[in-house]
Amino acid sequence: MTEPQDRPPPEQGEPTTTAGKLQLQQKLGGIIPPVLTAILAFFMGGLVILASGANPIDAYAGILEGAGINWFWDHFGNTDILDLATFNLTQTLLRTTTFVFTGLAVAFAFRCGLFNIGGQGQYTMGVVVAVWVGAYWGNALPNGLHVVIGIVLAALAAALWAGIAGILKATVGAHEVITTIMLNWIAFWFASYCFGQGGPLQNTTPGQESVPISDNVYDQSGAIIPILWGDLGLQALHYGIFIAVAALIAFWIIMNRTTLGYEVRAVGFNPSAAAYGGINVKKNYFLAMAISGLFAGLAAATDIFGWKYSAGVLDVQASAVGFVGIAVALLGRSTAVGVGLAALVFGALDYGTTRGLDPEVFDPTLAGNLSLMIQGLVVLFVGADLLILYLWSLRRKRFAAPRMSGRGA
Amino acid sequence: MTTRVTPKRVGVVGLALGVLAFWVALPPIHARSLVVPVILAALGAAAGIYAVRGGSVRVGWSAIAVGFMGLGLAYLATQSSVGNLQIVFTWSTLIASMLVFATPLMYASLGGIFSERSGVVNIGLEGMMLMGAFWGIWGADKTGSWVTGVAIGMAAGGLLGLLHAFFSIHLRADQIVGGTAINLLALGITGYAFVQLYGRENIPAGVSEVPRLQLRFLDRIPPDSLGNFLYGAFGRLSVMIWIGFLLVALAHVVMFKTPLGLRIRSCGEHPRAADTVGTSRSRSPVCSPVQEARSCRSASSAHSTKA
Repeated sequence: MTEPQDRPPPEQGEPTTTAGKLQLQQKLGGIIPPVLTAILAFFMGGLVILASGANPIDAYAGILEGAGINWFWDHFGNTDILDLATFNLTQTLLRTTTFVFTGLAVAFAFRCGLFNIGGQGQYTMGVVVAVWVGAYWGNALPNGLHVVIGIVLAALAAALWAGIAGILKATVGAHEVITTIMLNWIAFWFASYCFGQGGPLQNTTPGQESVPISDNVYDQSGAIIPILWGDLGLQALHYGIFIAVAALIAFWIIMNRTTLGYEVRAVGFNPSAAAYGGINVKKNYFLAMAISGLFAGLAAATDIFGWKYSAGVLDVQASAVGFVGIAVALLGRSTAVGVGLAALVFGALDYGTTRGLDPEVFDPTLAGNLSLMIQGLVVLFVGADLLILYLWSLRRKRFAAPRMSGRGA
Repeated sequence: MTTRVTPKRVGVVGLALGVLAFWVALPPIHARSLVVPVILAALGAAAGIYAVRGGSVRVGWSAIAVGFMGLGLAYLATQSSVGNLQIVFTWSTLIASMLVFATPLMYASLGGIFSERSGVVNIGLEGMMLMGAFWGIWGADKTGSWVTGVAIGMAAGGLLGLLHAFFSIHLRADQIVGGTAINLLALGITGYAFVQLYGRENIPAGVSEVPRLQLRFLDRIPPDSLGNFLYGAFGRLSVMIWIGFLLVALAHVVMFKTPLGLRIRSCGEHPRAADTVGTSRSRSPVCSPVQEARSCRSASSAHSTKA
């Protein structure tokens, strides 16, 4: 750290870091701005639907139904997985599980003033390790232990991957946005090599030599996360959703009830002040990134051991869960409850606009892109809405003062 | 005329020797044994050490590093067959396609330069390129002319740039968050528009292409092999590639020799200082993302040349 005197004093009252802005955001308005943001984004999405000649209300109803929301009033209590609403709901929850983890991966770094765009790369490294442990370690280990080891190792691998960016930030000040983007691409091609033709993790099934997909965890070792609701052959909902809930609780406890969380938030709010107060800023940069990576790795491990069981080059290259995590963390204001709710919204949007959507109501290929657009709009508005609020409150203060003195004179 | 031997000059000679160490292993010389590269690299490194001791630390260390790199590359070159080396280093098509692939990067980084210099971190370049690529090819397809296609592509990318500028400057949103949003948004918009406009079919073949600049005179340069090589490498390049090179020069002039460039740079380096001399902070950075429209040209050029 350079001496505080070297730096120009920050403009009065204006938060200088992303985390500082976020903290301000949390103070202002509470739950209302994110809800308004989401409504605005969906409204603009509706205009797009209208422009392409469909009825937005019908389309959104179709998307909600595709996400299985109608289970709560039409099919409540129905546990038959072959029932469409029930099935759709399990699929939405399956995606929500992943998004909780990737959302937390972004949120944790955010609170430390770091923008972790590398959730995707950390997830990818987690996938590689999870597949390696799950499908290539034989079946000597008892299944339960095998799964636990797989989840731990995948999470650690992803934590290390994120830690690289943390170390670079702490030691040489390399901007974490740049380094994590670069690490994303390294992970992308590393995984493509691993699962690609002739790669070390390509499948060994006779007759499948030209298919760039890994071996199947379930076939090779049977080490999978137990199924909670559904059928093994139909992408069942697994117990990983409880790990996700536990992760949300852990996130809340770490952030609000531990020294680590206090230090992370202090660094995020103002690194210079934190350093002045005796907090080791570099250590916190590294830890925040590593813990972020840990969450991304958990997403990968629960995906592989929970319902995907294998990974291929195409899966790796088409996956965007890490980027959805950014939208989740931003909409959720980087809080535990917020991330959980935002993950539900994006989980429903993700499944409801693609596989769950009835093609008669609205074209799923259009809707899939619509969901990307809505994600983009949410991120765009979330980035700005706090500032609108902030400027609004500032303006009120700034203009209030002279007016009052004017009255007094 | 006498030239004094300064450590810096020795260092520069060392740099040249290091490069030479690699070069002798390549066509047309083809040193097949490592002896010559080793001697040259050692001389280069020695010159580097001399320069470091004499005080030119940067040049000296560079010379030492280049010496070792030259040696390593020369070793690799001697391990590969002469035929392969000739394919890689004298195959003019490779140079031409290198330029084709470099062009999008060139345009995009020009856009990046303008926004970075004005203090806007532009993560959204990728999205702007995507918009330029799609709407450029759409424009070329609908209007039947590559010129309007490129113009429409530029406008589409520039529009997204304006959106980014509005959010990051006027609403003071985080620039990186905004850029990420721009990328997502571009992905959604182009994907949606593609399905909406073209359905499940591909963009029809025969979209108006960017013409190639034929430089016949290169073919007639005296040694026949050289003429062939030059013509193959540079004689049939797309107009867009040459415009790209021109724009690099133009961007340099605008950025460092004009009042506009000075304002853009001052906004990036010290916004408050720029404020005090009356430069509109919000206006200048707005201009620059518009320049990013250039990045789209790249994409449409790349597409049309390949089409």
